[in-house]
Amino acid sequence: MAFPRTACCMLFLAGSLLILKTGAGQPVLFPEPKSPRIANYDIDVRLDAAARLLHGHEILRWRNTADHAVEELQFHLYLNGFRNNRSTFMRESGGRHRGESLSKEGWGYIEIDSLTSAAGEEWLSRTDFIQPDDGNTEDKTVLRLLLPRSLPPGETITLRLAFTAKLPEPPMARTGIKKEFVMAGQWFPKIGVYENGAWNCHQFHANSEFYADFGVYNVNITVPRDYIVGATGLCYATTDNPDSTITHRFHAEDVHDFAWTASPDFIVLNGQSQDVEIRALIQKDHASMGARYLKAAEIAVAWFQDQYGDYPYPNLTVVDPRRGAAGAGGMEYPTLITAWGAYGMPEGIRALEMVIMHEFGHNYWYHLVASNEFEEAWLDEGINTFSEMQILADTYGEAGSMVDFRGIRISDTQMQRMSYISEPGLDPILQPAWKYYSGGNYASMSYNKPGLMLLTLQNWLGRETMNRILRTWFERWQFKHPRSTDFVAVVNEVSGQNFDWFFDQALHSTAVLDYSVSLITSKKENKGRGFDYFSADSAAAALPADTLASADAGADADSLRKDTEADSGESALDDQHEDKKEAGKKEEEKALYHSTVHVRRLGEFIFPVELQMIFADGDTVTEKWDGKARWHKFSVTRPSRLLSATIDPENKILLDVQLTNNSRTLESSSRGINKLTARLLFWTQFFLDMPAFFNLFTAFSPNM
Amino acid sequence: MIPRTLRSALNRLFALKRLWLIYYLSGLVFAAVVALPATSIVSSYAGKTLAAERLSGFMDINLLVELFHYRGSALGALFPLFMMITLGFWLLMLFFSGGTLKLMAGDHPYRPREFWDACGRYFGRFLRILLWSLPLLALLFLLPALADLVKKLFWGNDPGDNITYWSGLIKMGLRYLALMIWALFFDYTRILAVQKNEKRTRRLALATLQFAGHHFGRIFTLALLLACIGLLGLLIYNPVAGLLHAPSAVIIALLFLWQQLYMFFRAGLRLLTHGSQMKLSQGLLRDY
Repeated sequence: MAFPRTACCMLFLAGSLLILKTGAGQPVLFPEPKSPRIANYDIDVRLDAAARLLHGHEILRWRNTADHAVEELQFHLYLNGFRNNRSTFMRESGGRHRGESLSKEGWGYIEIDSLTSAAGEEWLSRTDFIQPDDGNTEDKTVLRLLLPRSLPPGETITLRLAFTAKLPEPPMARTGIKKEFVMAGQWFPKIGVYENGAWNCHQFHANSEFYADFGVYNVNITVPRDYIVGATGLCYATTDNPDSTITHRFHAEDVHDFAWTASPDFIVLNGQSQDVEIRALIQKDHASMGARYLKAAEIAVAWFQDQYGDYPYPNLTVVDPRRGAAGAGGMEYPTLITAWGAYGMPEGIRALEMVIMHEFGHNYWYHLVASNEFEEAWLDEGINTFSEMQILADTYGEAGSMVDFRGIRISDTQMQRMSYISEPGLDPILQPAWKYYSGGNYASMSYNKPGLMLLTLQNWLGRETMNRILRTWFERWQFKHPRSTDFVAVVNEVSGQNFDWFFDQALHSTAVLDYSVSLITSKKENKGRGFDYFSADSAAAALPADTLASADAGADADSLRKDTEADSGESALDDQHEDKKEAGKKEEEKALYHSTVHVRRLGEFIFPVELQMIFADGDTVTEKWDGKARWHKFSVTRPSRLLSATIDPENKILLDVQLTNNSRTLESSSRGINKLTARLLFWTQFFLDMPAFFNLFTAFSPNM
Repeated sequence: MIPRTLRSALNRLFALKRLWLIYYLSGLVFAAVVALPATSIVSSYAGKTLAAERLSGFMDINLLVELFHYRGSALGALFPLFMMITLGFWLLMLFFSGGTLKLMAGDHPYRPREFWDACGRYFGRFLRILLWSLPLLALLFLLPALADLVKKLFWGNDPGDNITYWSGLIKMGLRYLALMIWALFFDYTRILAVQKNEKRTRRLALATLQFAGHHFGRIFTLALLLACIGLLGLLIYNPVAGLLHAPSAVIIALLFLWQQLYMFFRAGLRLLTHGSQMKLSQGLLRDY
């Protein structure tokens, strides 16, 4: 379904002229470039909403920053992931992504209609599709251009492309169209990243996001006049066209992607947070929720700037996807994020706020610190999940940071653990996004586990040190492409400790962390018996005076009968004789208890742990264990009985997949179990009783 | 008429205190059959841990999550038991309703023989009535579809999320209304079966429809009033239960007592419903 070649060329020429004409007047955001500006785009795009088509013309200026000549260029054509059911994306996703699937006619694609050099040489015939990841020859998401002559180091090549893109319907995997709502992400031919002497240009996969070089974007978007447009960067001008369309001119500097949205049904809400202007594009039917979107964005901007450093752009656009377009929701682009339509969601359930805060966080960890999401997704998603847990806890309090509704309080950390423990040992964190066992495991290893890993690290180092680590990470690596090793290096440098042992296990292995207290005992110390412990009665005459005294003090006992009672753990009090009672009490006070605690390492992950022992007299003893052996026994002799032992008493080690077995008490907790019984009994009674009252009041549940 | 009916039903309720106790204890015993094994699973998993200790305060989400993850199969095995207990309890209540209505219709104290005799006598009939009432329930459940129809008429196939949300709430209300009307039909058919000693279900159903159609206002008002009493009970129960969350043994015992007091109240309300409906129908049929 290629656009006719002649028409393409004419549109292409017209588009190029338009770009040249409007090239002047663009604002300058940063007098000094903040990034290497390797891939720079001028794009003119026209929306044909009825046909779901984008007609585009692109001028790409790409600079070879390698120390050697480049023979070929590689481009992402992401929209071809939606071209048919045989693309790698569709094969991997089974046609469903985050619960969304395309309508029967909803396929999308991108066609290059023409590709010429700056001098006008036709180069389209020099292209072919390649499949560097899986060899699926039916996948057309990576295009290779063999250059007629190599591009020397430091030189810039200019390419002119005309393209036609059909957006999928409804939006899927962050891009597409639904009725009048357009969310254009990954919509234009985008050059890959040339690094380490090779192209890093992966196919479009179901479980991966993106990777690109920084540059300057000038994008003119032509849409029907009644459409409201939001996009990456700043809109510096608009032009009314005679054909009832309007062209919005956007300029973005030092970004590595460009997305835009358009709809006639947006309501625009404006806000400000510190030095950042926020523009929320809210669906009309979500108008009453608009303030929540804006407020969450304002909190996010202020919090991230305060915690990690300056967000250098002057603006942020928050997009509320249309009903039926959930596939466009929960996504990040430079200076533009998409939220999640959640009409009617009570304020105590913070999913709406969480999504906005999370997506804004990506502007730090995916956009400014531009890690490779294909190969090391955790560097973005994991660090961002950690930030998400922090901001939610700081804003709403830890206990109910995610849900605080009708007495139910669940923290974001608990939610992350819930997902993580379901399958913690199938994959390591570090591997290409498309190689995980499942989509769920990709999420678990890219979001949940790294988030918990960093929270564990923070609990180890303290929040102040962790903040310094992330600040250093952000300052040092913004506008660059760091790898996991760079992160570990920053952690080691800032903390002043070597955490290779931790990251080796957490990032590269499938080792699961699970320590438990498997056994505790506490017995009154046996009185000494035998040769060195003769009782006073029987041996007084036989032993020297000093030995007797020492034996008395040490044995603390004078008869075999009492020893036996003590062994059985029973009190030696005799109720009938008050004097014996007193003596018994004194003896009790002097008694020593020998307590033991067996701790076990149930998983392969080795982590030093603390063991806290609580005694009946209120005393607390804390011991340390390097956690290396399979098990370890702690023994203590104290004048009080051991009540409980807890590994990691402060719940610092959030990677531990089973917190319940971290503690053990000498006796069952009757209070806790009694309360649970009362609760379960009541819930069941209430449920059984319900059908008899198909009356109005059954709509209100009782407080459990 | 309604206050007089309620007063008279309350008098019957207090005259039949043993019946009240039977209703309450039945619920308690059936619930215990499910709750105790569930507790035992929790106890075996976490009984000797501090996580169990924390259960004496609020519910521990970490424990709950890990329990479902690590003891999921044991908990899953309880589900069939739970379903069987639910079905058994519903049938028991149906069984009891024959004896209860019979006792409520009279004005003498509790007579065990009369109660159990009527329970057995009416059970088969009531079961038939239940089966006959199901088509009516299905029909009434079309009521919420009206909301969809109105939505489609006014907003077409693509209503806004706000419209969908509010129409969802209206649908929920209509579902309750449907259940309420069905429950009224079911209750009054049973009442007429006891009063008229009629065995043919079709006749009873027609008589009920006629009766309910003629006196719908009063019948519905009584149902609403009973609903309000139930709601009032809940409004008193909830804040007090909310206060009883401290992890001390005394507070836990108080919470248990308070919960059981509330369930005792509900058992009474169930009897009051039977009694007041019986008294209302007696009065109306006398006037009729």
